[in-house]
Amino acid sequence: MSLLKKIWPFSSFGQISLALFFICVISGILLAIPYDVNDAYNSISLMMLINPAATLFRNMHYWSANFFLVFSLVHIWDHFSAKAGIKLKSGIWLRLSIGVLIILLAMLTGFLLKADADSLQARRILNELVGGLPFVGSLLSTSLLGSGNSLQVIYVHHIATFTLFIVVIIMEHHKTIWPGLKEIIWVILFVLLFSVLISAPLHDGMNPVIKGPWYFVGLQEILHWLSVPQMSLLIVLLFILLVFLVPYGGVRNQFITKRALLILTIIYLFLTIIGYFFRGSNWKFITPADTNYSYYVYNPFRSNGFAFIEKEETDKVNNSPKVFGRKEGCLACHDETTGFSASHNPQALGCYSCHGGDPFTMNKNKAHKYMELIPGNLATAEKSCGTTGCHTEIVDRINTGLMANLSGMISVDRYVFDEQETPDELTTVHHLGNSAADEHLRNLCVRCHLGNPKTETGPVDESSRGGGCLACHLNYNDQSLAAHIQHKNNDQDTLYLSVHPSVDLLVSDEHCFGCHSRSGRISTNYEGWHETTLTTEEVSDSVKYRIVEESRVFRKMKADIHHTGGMECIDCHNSYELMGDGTRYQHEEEQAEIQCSDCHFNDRPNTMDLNEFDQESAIITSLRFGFTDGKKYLATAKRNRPLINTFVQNDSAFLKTKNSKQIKFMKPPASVCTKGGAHSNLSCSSCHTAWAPSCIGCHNAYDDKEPGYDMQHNNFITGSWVEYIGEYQAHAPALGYRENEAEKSVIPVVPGMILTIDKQSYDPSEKDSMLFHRLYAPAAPHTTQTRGRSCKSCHNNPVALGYGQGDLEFKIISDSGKWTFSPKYRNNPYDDLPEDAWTGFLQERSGDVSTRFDVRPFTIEEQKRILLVGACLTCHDEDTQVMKQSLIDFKEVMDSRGPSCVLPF
Amino acid sequence: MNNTNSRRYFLKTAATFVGAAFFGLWGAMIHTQRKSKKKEVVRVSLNGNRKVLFHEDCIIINKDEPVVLSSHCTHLGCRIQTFENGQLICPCHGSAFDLEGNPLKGPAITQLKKLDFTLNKQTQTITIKI
Repeated sequence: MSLLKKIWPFSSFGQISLALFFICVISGILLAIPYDVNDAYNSISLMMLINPAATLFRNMHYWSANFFLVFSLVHIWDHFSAKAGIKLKSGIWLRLSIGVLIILLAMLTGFLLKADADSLQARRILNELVGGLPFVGSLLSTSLLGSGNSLQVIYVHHIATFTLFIVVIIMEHHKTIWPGLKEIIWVILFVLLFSVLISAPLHDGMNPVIKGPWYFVGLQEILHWLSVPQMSLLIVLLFILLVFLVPYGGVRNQFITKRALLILTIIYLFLTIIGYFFRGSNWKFITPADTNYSYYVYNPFRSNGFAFIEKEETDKVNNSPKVFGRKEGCLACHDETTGFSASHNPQALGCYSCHGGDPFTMNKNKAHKYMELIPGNLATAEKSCGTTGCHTEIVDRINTGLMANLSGMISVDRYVFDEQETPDELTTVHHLGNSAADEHLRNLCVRCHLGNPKTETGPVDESSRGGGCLACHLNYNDQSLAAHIQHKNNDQDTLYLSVHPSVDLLVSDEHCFGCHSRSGRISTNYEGWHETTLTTEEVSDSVKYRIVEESRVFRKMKADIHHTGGMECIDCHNSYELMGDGTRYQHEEEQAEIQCSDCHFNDRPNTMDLNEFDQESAIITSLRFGFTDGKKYLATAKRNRPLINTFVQNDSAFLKTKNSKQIKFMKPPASVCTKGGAHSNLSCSSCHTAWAPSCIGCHNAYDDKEPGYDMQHNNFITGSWVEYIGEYQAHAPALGYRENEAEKSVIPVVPGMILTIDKQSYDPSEKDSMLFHRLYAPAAPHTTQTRGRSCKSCHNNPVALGYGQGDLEFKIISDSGKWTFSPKYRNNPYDDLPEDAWTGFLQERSGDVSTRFDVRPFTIEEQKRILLVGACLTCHDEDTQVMKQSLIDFKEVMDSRGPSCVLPF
Repeated sequence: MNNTNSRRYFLKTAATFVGAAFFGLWGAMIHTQRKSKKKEVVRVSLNGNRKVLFHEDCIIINKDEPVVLSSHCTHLGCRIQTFENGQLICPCHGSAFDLEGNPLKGPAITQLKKLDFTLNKQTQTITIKI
C-alpha cells in the first residue's frame, strides 16, 4: 500500500472515491432522461442502438460506480493500516460501516434497473432472501423492492434513498462533497477511457448463463452451497461488523479483526473468481478446456462504438419490433427480409437468437463481428439452435447419436486394421489419432458426420456433408435460391438478402442423400439406383443411368416400395434415431428404433395416446399435424416411443406422410410370413430385400505422394490412403445369423470388408503387415419389396448361403442326391475361399467373420437344412401344395414322401 | 427532580411512541398494499401438445391429470425456465426438480409449490390465479 501511495499522484483514496461518486451522480442524473423505468430493458437497448451520448453516460455511470465501490473499500483499508487509525465518533463510524452495505445496495439497485435476464433473476433472489427473514422479511422486501414487476420503488431507492445516505456519510466524515480539481480531472479521463472502450453490461436475453454483478458473484457461489440461503446474510453482517470493530479494542484485538477481515476478503475474492470464470449455464462447473467456454463464461461487456446514426436509421429502429423485451439493431436493417418459417419468425425471435453478433449496435461491422453467418454447426449450436428456450435438449444430446460421432464406423475400421480387440468400442470422430486406421478414416471416411461444419451459404444438395442442424432443416425455395444467388454475386456486399431460406421440419430425402448415397448407399438404394464402376463417358442413357456429383454413375434398379409409395426417410425415422437419444450405441442397428413389425402387424399393436408422448414428440406432432388429440398412435416396440405420423382406426393402421400429408394404409404381413414356424426367426428384410449393393476385392494402401484430403480438418494434404476397388455388384443379399441375448434371427448381410490392407505402406516399421480380412456386415439395404424373395432365391442360391456367386446344383445320380458348387471367382490365396464368399461350401467359419461379433454365416448343419429344402424345390415348385404344407409341418412332409424323392443328406 | 418529569424523558417517550406509530403505519401500509394486489389470472391453452409449458410464474405439466407448479425455485425464487433430460433446472444455482416438483439436486431441498387451477376440458384451457 505504501509503495502504491508513493507513485500515486492523488492526496488520498477518499478523494478519488469522492470524485468517482461525483461523476456517478452527474452521469446518473443525465441518464435519467433516456431511461424509462416502465420499459427499462427496452429503453437501455434503444440507448445503445440510437443514442451514443446516452450510452456513454450509462457507461460512465457504471464504471464510476464500480470504481467508487473499489476505491471506497481501498480507502477504508488505507485508514485501517495507517498508524493514526480511525479517529471518528462511534456514531459516525457506525454509519460509515453501514455505508459499505448502502453502497452495495445502491449498486445492486442499479443492476436491477437494467431489467435484463440477470436483473430479473437477481430481483427474485433478493426478494426471496430478504422476504425470508423472520418477522420483518415481508415488510423489508416490499419496502426495498416494491411489489409486482414495477421498478418504481427500486428506482427511488437507487436515486434517492441510498444516494442521499451516501451523501450524508460523506459530508459527516469529510465535511465537503466537492472533490479536488486534480482528482476530478484525472478520474473523468480514467472513467471516460473505460467508458469508451468497454460498455456497461446488458444481458442479451438468450445466453443461458445467469450471473449477478461481479461483486455478488462470490455470494452467488456461496448460495449455491447453502440450502438455507438466509445464512448468507450472516456473512454480509459479519463483514460489516468486522469493519465496524476494527478501530476498537487494543492493538492485538485490532490485529485479529483486521486479519479476519483480510482472510474473509481473500476467501470471497477466490469464490468470486470461481463464480465468474468457472461457472456456466445452470451454475455448472466449467473450465477453459470445455467447448464454448467463452460463451458460457458469459461476458456481457461489449466493445463500444459511438458512431452517430442518421435520422432514417433511428426511425427504422423505432419502427422495428420489440423482441424478448428489447430492440435489436439487426431488425432495423434487415426489415424487409422474408422467407422465414413460422417457427423462426424474426418478428418474434429476432435475428440474434440464431446468428449472434451484437444486437445492440447499428454499426454493421460491430454487429456482424462475432455473428454466426451459418448457425447450427454443432461446434457452436449451443449458442444458436440450442440457446435458452429453444432446442437445448436436442443440442445437448446430438453428439450421442452415431450420425454425429461415427463411433461404429471408426470402431470397425480400427478393428479391421488390427488396432483394437473388438469392433464395439465407443469413440468419436473428434478423438482420431495418428494410427494407420485413423489416417485411413481421415482420408476416406469421416466427411459424413453432422459435426462437419457447413461453411458456405446455399442449399443442401447431393454434394453436402454434415452441416449440423442445417444438414436436415435448411430449405430453399425458388425465391430464396434466387435471392441467395443475387446476394452471393453482389461483390460489394451492398445488398440485403431479400429472401431468407426457411429452417423448418420439412426434412426431405435430398437432405439425407449427400451422406447416405455413400457406404451402405441407403439413399440411392431406396430410390432404386446402384452405383457402378462406369465412367460418365460410358453412359448416355439418362433413364437407365444417373450421374451423382458429376462423376459417379448409378444404374437404375428397383426402388424401395416405401419410396414408390411416396414415403420419405423421415416417415419412418424419428427425431431420437436421427439426433441421438442421449444413449451411446455401438452400431447403427442398435440406434435404429423403427422395425417393420411396428407398422406391419397381425396381433394387437403397441399404441399410445397423445398425453403419453414425451415432450419432444408432442411438440413435433403439434407442429406437423396441429392439434391431434383423441387418436391412438402406434409406438415402437424397441423403445416405446410414439410414431407420430401413424394412427390406428377400426383395427387398421394408417400412416400420414410427414411432408406431403398423404394417408397410407399399412398392410399386415402376408400369411406366408407367419404360417407355421418354418420362418419364424427370419427378419422381414431377409425376405423382402430386393437387392443390396456390395463390393469385393478391395485393396488399401498408403501413398505418401498421393494428393489427399483430411476430412476431419477439411484441408488438402499430400499423402493419403488409396482404396483400389474390385467390383460393385447388386443382387439379392446373402443371409447370416445374428445371435445375441435380445435377438436370434436370420438377417441380410453383404461383403462388408473382403480386403487387404498394406499397413507397411503407412508405417515402414511394420513388418509382414499385409492384413487380409473376409468380413461380412449386417445390412439394412432399404430396397424393400412387397413380395418376399422366392424360396429358391434362398434355398438354391449360393449367394444367399454365403458361398458367393457360382453354380449351385443338386444332382441325382443313381438314386443318390448330391449338391455341388462351382464358384464364379477363383480362390483367394490368403484363405483359399472364393473371392466373394463368406464361408466355404458346406464348411463352417467362425471367429473373425463379421464386422459384428454377434453375426456369423450359417453352420454346416444350418446349410444342410436350407439345402434340404432346396433339394425339394428342384422338383417341386414353391406354389405346390407339398411345399406349402412343408411350411406348416416339414417333418410330416418328409415322413410322407414317396420313393421317387431323393434327398441329399 | 424526578427523572420521569424531565424534558429528555418526555422527548424519549414521545419519540418512542411516534416511532412505534410510524413502524405500525409502515407495516399497515405494506400489508394493505400487498393485500390489495389483484391476483393475476393466467389462462393457458393445452392444445399445443407440449408436455411442459413455461410461464412467468408457473410451469404447467401437461398430462392426463395436469399439474401446475410455481416457477419460483424453492431455494431462492429464481425463475425456472429450462427442461433438460426430464428435469426442471434452475439457472441461478443449478437445482433440479422432477415433473412433480420434487427436488432431485440441491441446493433446493423442498418441493416446488403446486398451484391451484381449473381445467376446462371442453376448451382444454387451464386457468391459474397467481
